[in-house]
Amino acid sequence: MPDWKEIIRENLPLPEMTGLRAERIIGELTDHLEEAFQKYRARGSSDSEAMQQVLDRMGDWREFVDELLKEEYRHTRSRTDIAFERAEQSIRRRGGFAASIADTWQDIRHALRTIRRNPAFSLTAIATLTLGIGGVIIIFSLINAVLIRPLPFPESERLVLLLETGASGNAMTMSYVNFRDWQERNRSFEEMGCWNETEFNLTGLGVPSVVTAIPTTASLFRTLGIEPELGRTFLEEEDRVGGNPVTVLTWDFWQNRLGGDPAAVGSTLILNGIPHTVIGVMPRTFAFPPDNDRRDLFLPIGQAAPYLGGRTSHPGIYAIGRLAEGVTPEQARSDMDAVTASLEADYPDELEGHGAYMRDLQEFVARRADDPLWQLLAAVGLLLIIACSNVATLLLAQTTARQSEIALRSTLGAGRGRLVRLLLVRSVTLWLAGGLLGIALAVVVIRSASPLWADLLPRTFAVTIDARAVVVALGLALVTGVLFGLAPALLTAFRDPASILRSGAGSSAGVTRRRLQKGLIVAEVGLAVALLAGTGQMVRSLSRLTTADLGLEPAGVLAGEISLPPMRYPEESRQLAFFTNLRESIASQPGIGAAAVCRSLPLSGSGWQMNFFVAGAPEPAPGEVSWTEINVVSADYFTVMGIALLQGRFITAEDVTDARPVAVVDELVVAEHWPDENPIGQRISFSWPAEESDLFEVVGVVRHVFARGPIDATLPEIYAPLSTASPDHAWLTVQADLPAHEVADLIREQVQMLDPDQPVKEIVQLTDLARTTTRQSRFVTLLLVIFASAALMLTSIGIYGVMSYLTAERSYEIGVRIALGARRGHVLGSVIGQGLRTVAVGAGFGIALAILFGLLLRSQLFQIATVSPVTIIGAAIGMGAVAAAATWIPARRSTRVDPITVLKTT
Amino acid sequence: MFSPELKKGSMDLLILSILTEGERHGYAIGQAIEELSEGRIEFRISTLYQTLYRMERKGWISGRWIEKSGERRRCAYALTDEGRTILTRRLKSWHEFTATINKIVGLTHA
Repeated sequence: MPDWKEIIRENLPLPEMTGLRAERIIGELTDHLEEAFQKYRARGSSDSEAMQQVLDRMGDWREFVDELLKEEYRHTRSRTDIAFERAEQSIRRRGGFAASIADTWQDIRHALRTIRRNPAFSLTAIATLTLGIGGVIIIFSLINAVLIRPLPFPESERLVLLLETGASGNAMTMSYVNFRDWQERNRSFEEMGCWNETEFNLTGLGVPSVVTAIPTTASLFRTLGIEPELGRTFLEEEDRVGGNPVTVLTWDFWQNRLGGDPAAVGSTLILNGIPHTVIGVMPRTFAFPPDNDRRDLFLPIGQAAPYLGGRTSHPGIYAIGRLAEGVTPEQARSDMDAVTASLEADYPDELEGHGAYMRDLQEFVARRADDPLWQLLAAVGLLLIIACSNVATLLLAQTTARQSEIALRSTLGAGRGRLVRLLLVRSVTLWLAGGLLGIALAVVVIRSASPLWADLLPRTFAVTIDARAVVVALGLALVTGVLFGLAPALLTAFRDPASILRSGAGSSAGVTRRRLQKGLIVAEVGLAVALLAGTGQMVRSLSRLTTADLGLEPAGVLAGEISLPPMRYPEESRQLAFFTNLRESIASQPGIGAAAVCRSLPLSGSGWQMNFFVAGAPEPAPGEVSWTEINVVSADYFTVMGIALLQGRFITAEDVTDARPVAVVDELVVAEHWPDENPIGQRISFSWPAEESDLFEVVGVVRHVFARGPIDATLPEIYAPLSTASPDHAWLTVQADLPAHEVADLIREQVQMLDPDQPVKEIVQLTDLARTTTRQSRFVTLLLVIFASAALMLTSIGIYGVMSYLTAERSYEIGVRIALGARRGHVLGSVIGQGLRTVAVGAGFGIALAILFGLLLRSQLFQIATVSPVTIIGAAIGMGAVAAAATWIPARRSTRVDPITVLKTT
Repeated sequence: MFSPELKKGSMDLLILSILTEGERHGYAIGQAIEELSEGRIEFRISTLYQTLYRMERKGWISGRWIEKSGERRRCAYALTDEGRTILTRRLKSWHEFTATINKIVGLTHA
């Protein structure tokens, strides 16, 4: 005889009723169905015929449950609920397509009820999916802002970035004069504009401060296609020497410094001592350069033309062109090749090998970010698959519990398609809930994290959850919901209903279900191992990065950047005197170890590159000219920076005072030019052919400094006395044992004493600068650590869930074995063994996957092997240990029970 | 066989009438209706219990567990005072209704 009580229990989920009431309903129905069954048997029906007859008499279970609960919650039912039900019934009466919509609607409502009735299951599933989908949406929003969403300029796909290439073919910033010729000679661009970046001292508006300014051509705004919010941008006659001093403000500067006063247009700002008329304010959404929204104002670049140098001077100028209507990038490229060839023909001495570099503007803006972003998307994708697998294992366990209900439905005539749909609707509903909450999670994270990643990636100010992100989140939820809900649904719906009713759970579908559950665990463990191994690699790489030897000692070094305005310091002698006095007065303060002045500060991103030549060597062929980083420094520079002397001597105070033509070179210069000779006493020049007066004598050799941090290679470096170049702009560097803020105060105080109108830009610690060179790596690593921890947690929860389920299924067998005298320890071992075998297969799969993931991360790894057996096996063992714990808890619980109890209740 | 609407409308009345003869459990109520109607009225089991629970909630009938020696524990339903009042009122209106219908039907088909 069928176990009617069990069938009823499975089909009447009544957890919302008090225990007694549910017990009574189940008891009464059991009696009734049993008696009816006996009656049909007595009339000569077979067992299965009698059962079918009883089930026919029973009617619709779902309707019955709904009625019971409706009765129970009559007072809590809302009017909308009642209205929905009525509408649903009236639609169903019409039949056809409308009826099938009504059916789906009913399925959705049923799904929502099921979700409400199993709060523990539903909350676990939805939280897991929220984490998975939310993670993907966060990374997707970064990708969307940086790589997908077009730059906020009209027809931005027509904008290209332009740079010069030299004889070596490498791109470098532009010469101003060459840019003007390109602008005039090209025939494929509608407009072309250029800009560089600089800083100005702003006085007359509170305390003197330093503002970031962008000198640009008048044509830049036309090239971008952006109109000002207020006033106008530059006129062509303002963009040349002798034009009226005017400035255009960014929205933020106008708001923050001028209170957003519309009367600001027409007012005057004192920049480097010169009054500039404010002629316009750019719109709030205008960020320029496109990767950055923290600039203060724009100035006409043409007025500064005399300071920008000639055809071989490259003062950090970038250019943007807008392709003319109908011109393809290929046509523009061949046009630019013709332009540069004609320039080279006109100026063969200066422009040998001159060429143009062209790249889509958006690609250029995103150039450093695309690799890590795709890598993070891959990582978070793995996390999503783990989350989905986890929920699928939960669903599999759930559907087994619902199998008898489903079998009844299908006995009662529900088509298989309808059953699969019912189950799929339920899983998709769960996934969509996870998707919606995932969007909410992403919004919260993006809002709170934006200050953290502002400097780590370009265009972070543009990261938002837009319609595209919402569509991706919901689409992802729908697709993964169907994919991961399908197997449990098919497995449940396509079973022979009679066999379930006869035997309850177990049998062949049980085998398939267990295989699926184990398969999902294998996948989860594998993905988690890959993610852990990748993260381990990144952590190792990061620790190499942060401990990498940069060739200098950043600890205890502070630096302040000072620009002397040409108005007040027109002569080099006055500039030099200012810095010499400043250095000496600071060095004499108590607690200061040493102070020095330099033109370029290592790790700050500043630099100055030049060609150099060895006197007496044959003239190098074009393309084989040596490039070097050049820095002019005061005495004590090497002491402050902790750069080791390898041979000869440092630059001294006398070298600076007398402007002696001496140079200190680094070990790379020696390795390249004098590997077997004594470098001391060699003579070099920065032009060819060199006059006697252009030659510098090498007096010392120092270690190479990685001035851009450990990741980016840097050119060999040559140091010359501060006085050999015009020191209008320099860094004061100080080595001290005092707290940083005291040193900073001291620097400001001494500068004020020398010149009360002279500001100092933010004072930086060299250790902070060293850290910023690895910040992208730290960002990626931090996110990976978060993802990997989440993956480890989810996977262990998944293993725990499935193992609890599988051991509960085996509880009868375990009870029998213990009752027959098997030692608990032995049984425990066999149960754990069962779980660990699955985990081991997953770990094996994970090792293979980890190698692939490692290859994907290759571009981020610093000084470590792409495939590291130690990390990968470590990750597999770590995962194994967590998995063992997750297996051990349910296994131990199953063997702790009293065998008598188990045997009685099963 | 009668239409479901007809049966559903008369379900309350049938159950209340059956219970005037003494308390009965659910299965017995169903059996009694089937037997007395000579198999012409049959209910879905779910409908029977839905009706019983609704009537109990309204206070027309009351269920209690009784245990007889040699038999299993069962829930038996009995009429309450309110149930009797309802039954009287319903019977009255039922008689009036059928009489009216018969009169009309009888007149037209006489």
